[in-house]
Amino acid sequence: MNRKQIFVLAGAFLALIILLLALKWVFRPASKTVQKEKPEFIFEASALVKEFETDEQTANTLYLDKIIEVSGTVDDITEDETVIIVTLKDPGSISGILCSFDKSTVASENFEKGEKIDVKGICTGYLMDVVLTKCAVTDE
Amino acid sequence: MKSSIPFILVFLGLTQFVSAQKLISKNGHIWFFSHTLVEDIEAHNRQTVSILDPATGTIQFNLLIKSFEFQQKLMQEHFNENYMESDAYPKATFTGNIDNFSQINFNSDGNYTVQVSGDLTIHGVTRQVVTSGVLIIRSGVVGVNAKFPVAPKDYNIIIPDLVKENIANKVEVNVDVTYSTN
Repeated sequence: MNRKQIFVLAGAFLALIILLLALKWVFRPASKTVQKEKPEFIFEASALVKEFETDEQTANTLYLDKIIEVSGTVDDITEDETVIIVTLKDPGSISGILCSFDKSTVASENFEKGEKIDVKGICTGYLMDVVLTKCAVTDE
Repeated sequence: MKSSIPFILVFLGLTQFVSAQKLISKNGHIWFFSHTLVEDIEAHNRQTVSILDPATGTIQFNLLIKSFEFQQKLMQEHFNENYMESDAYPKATFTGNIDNFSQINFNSDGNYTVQVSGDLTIHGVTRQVVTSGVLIIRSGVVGVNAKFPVAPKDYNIIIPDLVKENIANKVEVNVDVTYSTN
């Protein structure tokens, strides 16, 4: 084998590796939780709700797609086949924070009504409540 | 005086019936499915808010575009950034009426085929739509199911030529909502 052939072979090999890495990146699965990621903002649940209530548009530009950690009181727990939705809400207030957890990452028995918890998740916006997805309970 | 107590109770019961509470769900499931020869794509939103007024038959759905979850991260990014532009249009909404509302007896279990018409707003474009669905009542718990097609181009959602073959002209939207009783 002469030098030229070795170069061509090495080049082809390199191109193949780059292609595989690119494919792996394109088809990378969406993560189920933000467990390992750092929050950009930390709030009391009621304070975040208030920001959306007073000026939803500004709050959208500030917080959409961002990882936010909130601490609040568990008001309600619902679940379906794939997700557990924990509502954080202060007694007496109308709106709260809907935190959606992937069932493969946590069990609903871990939550208890009235308990105070810290949760981080990706903020997707505000309907009747502020919505966080891919949530994780943060360790103390 | 004694005899007026039962009357008051009946009266209270009656007013409660008249001002029947709206049915609310905050964890409605709406998902869409796009089938082409190249690939099948689906995404799920499990935080849809829906309000059904059993007194008037008005029905509403509100969802956040960014709450749609895809299998692949890149797909979800493209969906939000390129197609739905969810920073500019974070919500999709439907506000309408059950047209054959008078045929539903909310006090009796059953599957009622319903026709719903109203305004569907996606990507900042509002269009009048009519679709059929099923309203299910099981021991007092009310739910709705529906399936209808949405054409991305009707809502000014531009799909680039490069991926035109990968995304269906008509995306099938599925609705599955169970209302909470409170």
